[in-house]
Amino acid sequence: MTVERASTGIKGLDKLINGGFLQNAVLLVSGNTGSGKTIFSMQFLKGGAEKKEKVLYISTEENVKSIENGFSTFGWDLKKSGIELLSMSPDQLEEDWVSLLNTKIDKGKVKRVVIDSISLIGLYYRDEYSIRRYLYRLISSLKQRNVTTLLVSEMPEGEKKFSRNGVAEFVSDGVLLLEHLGSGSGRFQRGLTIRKMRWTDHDQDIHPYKIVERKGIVLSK
Amino acid sequence: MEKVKTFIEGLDDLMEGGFVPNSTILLAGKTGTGKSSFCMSYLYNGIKNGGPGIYVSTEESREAIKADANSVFGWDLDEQERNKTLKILTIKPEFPSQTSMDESKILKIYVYDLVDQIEELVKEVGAKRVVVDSMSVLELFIKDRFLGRIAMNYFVESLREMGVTAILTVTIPENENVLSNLGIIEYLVDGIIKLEYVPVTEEFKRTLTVRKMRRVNHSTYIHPFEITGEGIKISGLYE
Ligand SMILES: Nc1ncnc2c1ncn2[C@@H]1O[C@H](COP(=O)(O)OP(=O)(O)OP(=O)(O)O)[C@@H](O)[C@H]1O
Ligand SMILES: [Mg+2]
Repeated sequence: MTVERASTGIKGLDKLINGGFLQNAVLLVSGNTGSGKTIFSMQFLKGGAEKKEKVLYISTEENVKSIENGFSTFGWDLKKSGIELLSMSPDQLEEDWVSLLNTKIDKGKVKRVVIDSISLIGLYYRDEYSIRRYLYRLISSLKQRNVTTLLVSEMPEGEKKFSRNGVAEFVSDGVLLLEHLGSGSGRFQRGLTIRKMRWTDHDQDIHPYKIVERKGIVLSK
Repeated sequence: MEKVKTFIEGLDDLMEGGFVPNSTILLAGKTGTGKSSFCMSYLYNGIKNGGPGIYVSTEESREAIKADANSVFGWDLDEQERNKTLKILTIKPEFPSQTSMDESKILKIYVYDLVDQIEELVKEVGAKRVVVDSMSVLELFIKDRFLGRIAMNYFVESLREMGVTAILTVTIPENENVLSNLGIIEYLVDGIIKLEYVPVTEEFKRTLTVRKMRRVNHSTYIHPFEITGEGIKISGLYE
């Protein structure tokens, strides 16, 4: 039986993970600031939109206009590509956030979704336990849907955890790490590593990459 | 797009001509790496080229700032203040005397007040450049990372809405490989410039790295720089 996989949209990445992401998987894109998390995620959506899939980008902090403007200087016209952008701040929506998102996905027959980022999710709960439970609920409800999800997560410099409370990496089906590497050669580099990918015989190496206008994330050969 | 030039020798070329207009840049470095000199150069060069600026200090007094600018660069900030091309604002936060006061309230009040005062001055002199030196004090007030993040995001958004191009500084703790104390502000800003003071063979050298710059094809090299009598100067590549 062949399982359906969603192409990552990043040239050279699919072959490292048996052809792409599993279709209802929830993946964590974790990285340092400026490592390219937003560009990576948008490239994944762009790949889907080019195949006429419904795709949705949710920003929890930046407003839609500034994301559009930013990408237009990068050479990507998001509107024209058919990528739906939504600014949904978890501090406005509290608990209903998850059901609102699910309705949006179900009604719109959305195939790919990005949440950039998960840092404010769980805001209304005062204790770590409730935040964990909430994140768990969010992720499991996404897994039950016919959608491939990327959750953008921040990894502060010098830390080993892939997300702030260390929950999302356990519950998600995979972790992609975008790292800012030291600058031994007088110049800094970025590297991508697949840290976890369920049901997939994945590559373990660190792959240097560049960010290139119009092209996005480009893995070095 | 017309860039906002820092006019710092050698710097604008590292980021396609200058800062993206309306962006907020974090200037991160340990104590003594040259953050304040950098900020002063950015404002002073702007003023010389026709753009008024605001210097907000959360740590030093106005007199100390002026004295520094005068002794290091020979700049007369009194004159700039008289001409209304520069405003210096000192807002030191105060820990409340009653311990009963809610931490989130103090933070909110302080940040709202900061935004109000900056906005007033920006309007008064038509400022295009703002420097906030430093954000580290604000970090001291933050107990809850969610509320802290919302407060800092509100601050950054407000600066963008004022239409200014701003530099915020943070002091990186000694012996630590982080970009800020709490690890939050660096994700909210549009760009990061990191200053370091590193041993190279027999001596210490000052270096600068453009660590992130949204929308920009920037240099990824480590660049040595000097603080001279005329301001900051980037001196080519570090091999
Ligand atoms: N035109 C360009 N050419 C080359 N590199 C670029 C270009 N535009 C942006 N970049 C690089 O991409 C980085 C920003 O990527 P992106 O916004 O995806 O990072 P991020 O991980 O989402 O960052 P943040 O923590 O700020 O959310 C910039 O810091 C810059 O290094
Ligand atoms: Mg981002």
